[in-house]
Amino acid sequence: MGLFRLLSRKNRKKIQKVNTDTNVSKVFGDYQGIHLDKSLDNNIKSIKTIFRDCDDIVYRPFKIAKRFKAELVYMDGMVKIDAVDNFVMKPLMLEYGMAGIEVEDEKKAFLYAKEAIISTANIKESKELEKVLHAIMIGAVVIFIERNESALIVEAKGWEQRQVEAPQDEVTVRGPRDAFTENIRTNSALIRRRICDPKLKLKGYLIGRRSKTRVEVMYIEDIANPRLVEEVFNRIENIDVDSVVGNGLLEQLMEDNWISPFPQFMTTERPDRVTAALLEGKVCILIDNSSMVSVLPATMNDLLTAPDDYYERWMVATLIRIVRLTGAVASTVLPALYIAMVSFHPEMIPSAFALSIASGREGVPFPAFVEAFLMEGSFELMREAGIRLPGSLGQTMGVVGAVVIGQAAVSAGIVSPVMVVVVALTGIANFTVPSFDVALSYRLLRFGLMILSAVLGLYGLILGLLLILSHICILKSFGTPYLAPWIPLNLKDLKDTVLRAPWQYMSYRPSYMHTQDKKRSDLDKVGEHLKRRKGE
Amino acid sequence: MFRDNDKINTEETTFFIIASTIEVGTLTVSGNLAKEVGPDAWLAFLIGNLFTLIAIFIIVKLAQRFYKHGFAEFSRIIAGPVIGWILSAVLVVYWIAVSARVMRASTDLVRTTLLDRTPIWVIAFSIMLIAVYLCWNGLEPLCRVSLTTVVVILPLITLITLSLLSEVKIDNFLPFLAEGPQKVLKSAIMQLGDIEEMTFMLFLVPFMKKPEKAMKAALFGLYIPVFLAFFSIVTQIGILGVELTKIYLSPGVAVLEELQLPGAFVERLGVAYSGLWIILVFPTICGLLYAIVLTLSQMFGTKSHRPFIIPVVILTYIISIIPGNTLEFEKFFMFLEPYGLIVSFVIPLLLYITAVIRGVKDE
Amino acid sequence: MKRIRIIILILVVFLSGCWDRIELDRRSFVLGAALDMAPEDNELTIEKFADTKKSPLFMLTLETALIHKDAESESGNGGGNTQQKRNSLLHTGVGNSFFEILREEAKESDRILFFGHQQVIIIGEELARKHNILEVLDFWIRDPEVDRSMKILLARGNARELFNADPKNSKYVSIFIFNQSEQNRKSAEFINKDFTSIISELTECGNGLLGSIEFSENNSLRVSGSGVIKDCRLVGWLDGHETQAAQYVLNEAKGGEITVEDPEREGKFITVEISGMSTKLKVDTKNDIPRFTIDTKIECNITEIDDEPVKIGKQAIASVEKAVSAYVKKQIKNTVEKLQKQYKADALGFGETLKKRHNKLWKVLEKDWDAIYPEVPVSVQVSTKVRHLGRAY
Repeated sequence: MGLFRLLSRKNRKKIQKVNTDTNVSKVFGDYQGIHLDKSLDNNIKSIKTIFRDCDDIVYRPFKIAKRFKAELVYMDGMVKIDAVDNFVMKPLMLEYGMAGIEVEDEKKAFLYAKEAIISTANIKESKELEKVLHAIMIGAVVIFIERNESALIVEAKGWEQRQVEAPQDEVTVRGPRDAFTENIRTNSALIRRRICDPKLKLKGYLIGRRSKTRVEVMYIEDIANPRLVEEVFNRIENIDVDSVVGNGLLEQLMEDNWISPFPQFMTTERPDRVTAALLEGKVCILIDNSSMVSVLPATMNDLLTAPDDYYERWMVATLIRIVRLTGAVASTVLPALYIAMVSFHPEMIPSAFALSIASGREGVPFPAFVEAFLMEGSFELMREAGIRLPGSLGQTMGVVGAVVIGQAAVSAGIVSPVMVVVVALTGIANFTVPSFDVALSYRLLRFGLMILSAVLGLYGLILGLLLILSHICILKSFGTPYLAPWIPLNLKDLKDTVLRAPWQYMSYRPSYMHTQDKKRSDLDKVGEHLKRRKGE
Repeated sequence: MFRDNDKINTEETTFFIIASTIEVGTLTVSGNLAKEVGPDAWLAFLIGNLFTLIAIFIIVKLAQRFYKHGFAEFSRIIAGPVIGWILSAVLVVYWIAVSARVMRASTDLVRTTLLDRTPIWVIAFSIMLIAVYLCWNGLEPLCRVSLTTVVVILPLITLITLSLLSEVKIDNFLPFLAEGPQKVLKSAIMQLGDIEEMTFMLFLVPFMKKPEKAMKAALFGLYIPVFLAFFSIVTQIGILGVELTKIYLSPGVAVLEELQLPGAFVERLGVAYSGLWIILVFPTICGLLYAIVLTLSQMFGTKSHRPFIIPVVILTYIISIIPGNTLEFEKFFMFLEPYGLIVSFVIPLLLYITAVIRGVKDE
Repeated sequence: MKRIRIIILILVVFLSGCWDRIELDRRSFVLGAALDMAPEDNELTIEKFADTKKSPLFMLTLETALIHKDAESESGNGGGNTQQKRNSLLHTGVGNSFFEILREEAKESDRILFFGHQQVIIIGEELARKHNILEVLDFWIRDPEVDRSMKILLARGNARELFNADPKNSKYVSIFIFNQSEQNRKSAEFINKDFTSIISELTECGNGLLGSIEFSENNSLRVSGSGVIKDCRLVGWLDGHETQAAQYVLNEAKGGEITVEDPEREGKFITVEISGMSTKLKVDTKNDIPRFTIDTKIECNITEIDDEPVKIGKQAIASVEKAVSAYVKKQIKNTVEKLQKQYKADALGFGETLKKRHNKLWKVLEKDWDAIYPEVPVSVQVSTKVRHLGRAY
């Protein structure tokens, strides 16, 4: 158990746990503890002062049952007007007296409105100013009634948002095609649909002093290791920033090792990946306004797997994984290997090939590593450019860039033909890595290895690989060693690394997660059932 | 006592010992043995390693008796603070000398096969920097790196070595025992001091989750490299012949030129082969470094081993460049053989007997 | 912050130079080396060593690759140009040690000589006779850059002239020679061994056989036969058939063909191809006198018979076997005798066999082996079995 270390090596302030039952942590600090006034006018005046110069707040004074003064406050563009009209305004204004119940004063009116009249599914009451402010900011409708210290908060969120579409980056052949959107509730619903278990817990936070972004942590209570979950909560609560825009910032603030080139979270836009991760005992973090979900802890192995692996049959999946692994390694090592072999150790290349490489390099003014850097640099430029250009133009740009410029460069004598082949292979190999951030890390490391091999040849390349290896062995993602399950070597867990074992053998969850519930299923018994049938 | 409370399991211990034991010596040991005993080098090697079994047994028994303490501590318990400190110092000096030798041998290998003109300090410092980085973080990452390198590289090297077996000419091993068994036995006994890394068990046991498995770990850890070294010696003498093995500085690399892979993409694997060996030397260097700084920190009672790392590294480097050329290098480090005998065999034996007599042990 | 500064400092130190980096186009690939004695009337000799009394010992000729840019060699220059485009350069130098010569030649080259892809070393006859081959090859044994899968061959005559031959399909003469040796691996009339095995053999006992190469008509090269090495010096030549016999004794023949006259029908010949062969060299040490028996078993296939098909019967095969056995026995006997009496060179490993298997006897005979060897009785037994007749009867 010494492998599972809760706190990272960096100093982390141990802050006392914040009372989060209202789900509003220290965000509206300025207004904390201020209560609403009894007088409607005072309340409205304070709200108007706070929201001075915010012209998109709508104030709607009206009378309940023609008698009691009330006011509706909401933020334009964030509420469903129809719902407000039909289920709040109409009942309050028109149908109030129809039931024939006598309401004497505002207090009873308030109670009656809350319990019997407003026919929306989600309604709360609050005495505190900060909660009211927050409610207005997130698209609720607040109703103030004269001579009541509480306000009614009615959920009526409705704004323009993207539909659930197919994923952009993580395309599969066989799997489902829905991806996360920017709405956190839609996202959590996508996950809930796949795990119909009340043990799937969801804990919400509001992170960011000014953005007050809703951040939710999901985990399966009787699978995930409780210490892991506790550590996640701790780290989230210790975040103190202005705003959390997208999940990148959150990840980088929560990471064990921010200096490392390797990502310690898995970011995905596919619900099926998140579901699989949750079932292995991992924890996922959803962030409002971000269509990516972070999954932790992540190991190198996770970052190299694609969802399609689990939908295909095991032999095919294993073969494809080997190809992918080779691609990952090649994309890091290939140019450095080229530089080492050409500049330092030409004896390693077969004689005939060496002579033809030499003839290709004849007339090229640059040494091999400058050539390599130039070509790799141009390739990166082309790639960045391709991202900026819209749609199909970007694709053409990629092809044109590679072929034409490469060919032209060779004819002009700037680079040798072998270099173009190496760079092209490297670029393509990089695309086989399914996780975008890890692919970026490999690109970064590739340049480091190129520099090392330019200085010290094959020895430099080996040193670079040893350095990367040492770093990976030191790296931990929330207490899980980054190279699990290779290190520590657990043969049972290797069934899901390069090899993707047949489902008949995947009955147990990965042991490096130290889950509470060890067994996934009794899949091995499926095989027995089939055997018995054959014998009949 | 332990900085990180990190515990390692049996497999990690085994692989750590394997990775630390395998270093460039395997490439050159056949030359030295051939000079001493001629074509019977393989026999001398085997018998010598049977003797080391005794030493391993004593060391592991001693370490298991004090399974909660490292060498510096239990030598203090057994023999009193002064003598214990001196014994630990003897051990530390031994390890420093060994790591200087390993450093020198590997930089020589790199200079002759990979990089001709690069200054030695560049080659040495670059690998030492990475070793410093790894040791900074304790034993666990070190074990992981060992595990990776062994699992990935060792099968490759074994495969290459075994495929060379087909080129071996048995004739090169005759005449057998031409001059009688005395030379062979003498050489075998001197080999007791050759496997330096078995002394690692003296400090590793406290880190193990299951100290009772220490014997198994030590045996596997030491005999797998012995197996590899044995086949290396057999292939080297078998292919090159005794005389040529004596001539070459590094018969292990020379023998690679005989390897013919069908449709090989990379010819002349000698260069790449040296690269693989550098990968295997790295855990050795780190392991020795860690052993030294850990024992030093236990001797001086510091909480962490980190302050010692850089001074030890610099000291190792300085010692490694003292001998001028290859012949001086061999003469200079000749003292390691009897020294190793004392450290691996005599000292643990004496300590064990003293411990039994005084009746001290860890419960 | 401090940590980052240290890292930058270290990086700066490392990036200050790449000491070993030599670009591929700054290297000159040495493909073959021809080692000769320096002739006294050679211009180079007179020019360079005019002031010293002694004339230099060695002459070294290197063939290096002349790299053309691919585009050039395809366009334009082809056409009606039947003359062979020059692809290799020859450098020649004289000196007292080979390394010295290399340094001299380097002064005339714009590139660094690179030995990593060397294919062959050819030693001239005169040099091989006068100097110890191991001493001559010392540079190649020591230099770490040298690739040791190259071939060592002896030239009948001057080694240098061989580089003027026509490389035919290959671009370079050295590669042609290398491929030629490889291709003739099975012929058994030629000894094809690489550097390490030759050096190993020479260091063990100093005697052996080295393949030989010579100029033949049409400006082409021929690999055939071998040179007999005694105490690391050349003492004589064996022609193709004798080399084949020697290979049989050494148990190293991998193929080959034998043509015998059909004992039944005069003037007609039968050719068989050797498919397998094994030889045991037995030593009988009674009375402390070693008696060697060479016991060879040959398996062969009939490849060509000067007769109509379907005419071969069981007796015919038996007689073919007998004829082949007789022929091979005669060849082996002749070769052994030549080696014993004429050259007095123990190139077939008799002494080595004694040393390894009968060490006590060897210790007694070792000092006088040079005198004993020519008188040692050797008897030969050959048995042949025909396996296949090809596709037809």
